[in-house]
Amino acid sequence: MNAILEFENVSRSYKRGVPVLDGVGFSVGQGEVVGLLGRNGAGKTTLIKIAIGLLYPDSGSVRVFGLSPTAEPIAVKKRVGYVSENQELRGATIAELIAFHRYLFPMWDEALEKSLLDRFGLARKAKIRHLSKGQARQVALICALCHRPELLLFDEPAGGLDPVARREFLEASIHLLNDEGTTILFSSHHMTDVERIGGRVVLLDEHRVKLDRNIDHIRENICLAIVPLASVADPGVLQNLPGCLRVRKAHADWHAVVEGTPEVVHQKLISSLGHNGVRCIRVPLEELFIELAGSER
Amino acid sequence: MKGIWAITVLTIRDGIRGKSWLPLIVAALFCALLLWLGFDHRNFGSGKPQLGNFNAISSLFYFWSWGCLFTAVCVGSASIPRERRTPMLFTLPLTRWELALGKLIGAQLLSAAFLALGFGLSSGLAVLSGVPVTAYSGLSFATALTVSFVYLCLSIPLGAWLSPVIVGTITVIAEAQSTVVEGMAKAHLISGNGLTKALGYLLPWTIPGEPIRGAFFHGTHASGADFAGLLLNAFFGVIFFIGLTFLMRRGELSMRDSS
Repeated sequence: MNAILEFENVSRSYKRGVPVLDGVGFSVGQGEVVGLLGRNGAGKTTLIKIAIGLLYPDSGSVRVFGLSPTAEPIAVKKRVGYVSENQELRGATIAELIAFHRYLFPMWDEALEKSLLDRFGLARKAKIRHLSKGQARQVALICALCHRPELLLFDEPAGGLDPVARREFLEASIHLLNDEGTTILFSSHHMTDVERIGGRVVLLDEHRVKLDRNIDHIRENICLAIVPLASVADPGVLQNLPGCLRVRKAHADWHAVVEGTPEVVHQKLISSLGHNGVRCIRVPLEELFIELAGSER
Repeated sequence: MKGIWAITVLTIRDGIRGKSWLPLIVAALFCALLLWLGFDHRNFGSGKPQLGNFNAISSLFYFWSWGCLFTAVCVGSASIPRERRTPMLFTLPLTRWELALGKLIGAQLLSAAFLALGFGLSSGLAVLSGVPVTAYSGLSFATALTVSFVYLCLSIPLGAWLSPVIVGTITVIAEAQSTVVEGMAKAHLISGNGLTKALGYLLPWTIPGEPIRGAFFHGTHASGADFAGLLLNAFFGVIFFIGLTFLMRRGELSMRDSS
């Protein structure tokens, strides 16, 4: 699979000595949908801004279609669509905003524009300032899609929307696009968004990539091992287990996220710790996200 | 060229929608109030109202021009910082040259239209009142245009690095420095010729404000040299615009630090 977007050892900080990204590396292949997950401040927005050339990495390299987004910004931006939570829509009406984008992109697809406006029930004459948050995001999506970008960068595209608008937006956008083979990198701190869309998950935590797996793999092959604190004094024992992704203290137990089915992991733990009292369970993805990125309690 | 035109149109529309014409209304109302009270800008503090056609019409253009120049500083200073705050244009296939030049042309057209409106209004009143519209009146219009152009040449690219308030302050100081330094030297607040000379080389603008103050006075004359002087000042503006835009064409611009 051709890599459309490649991050290689990317580091970035806003203040000296306080990294936001520290050696982040992964690539996104053609037609792939990748959900970038992480808590607030994990570096998701920074990474997406680096991908579109708004920010420069302190070290490491970023290639989009094999090009540097900072050295050849125009060539990259012509082929990329971008929607963010804080995006400002300029213009008095939807028609004016769309006309501005159409003018800048020679490959503008008017048929797609019309079908999306119909699908979202948006009137061309509608005033931008009268749009709801969800409608504004739909207009931003139309502007990002109708020049037929090869790569879409969505930074919290459904952020701030109510659950219904959120679902409608994600289903309308990502499924529609992915059917056409567009490559998508989208950031979210909602595991349910990623779960609904499928594809691959890249979890950013503590400035690094903590997990990079297919969603089906996560569902089937990652489980939570719950070990009583009394059984293991040193969490290092759990951390050294093969496939262990994270250990954290949760009340009277250690919670370890381990790669493998619950049965296999349970067997491993019994054989290495030599006692019982250990439980291994499959947990919903939302829970798994909290286990991987949450703090100790 | 396509990108420049798109940004030019967007800037004009944003300016009109953003109510950048409001200072003009304020200036006109302020002017009307002063004239009604019997004052004009020439006798502030003198305590002697001198209401007359010459001064009244000049005052109208004077206050109108300052409304326009205030607008130019505000529009110019805020234009790039706004893009940095909510990066929409920076995510589109536009070079920074196109962005800066489109904004300069758009803001200057807007400013010129406002100034032309004020000049047309003042000239119309002058003709109706039997006051001659002379070459000096034209010079006052050209002076106001040049000042707004220089403001924009400085403030638009400086917005790539600085906040609107700082940009506005720097721009006004840069353009007015010759008048300020001259005034301070006359008042013996500064004496060093070296400082005056250094500032003169660094910030070369020497646009006399007098024509804006007395556009429709009798006995004032304009020569070709006055217009040539304005062209030279505008040329300095272009040089600074090119230099600053060249510096901002590469490298990261400060975006909001959201992670």
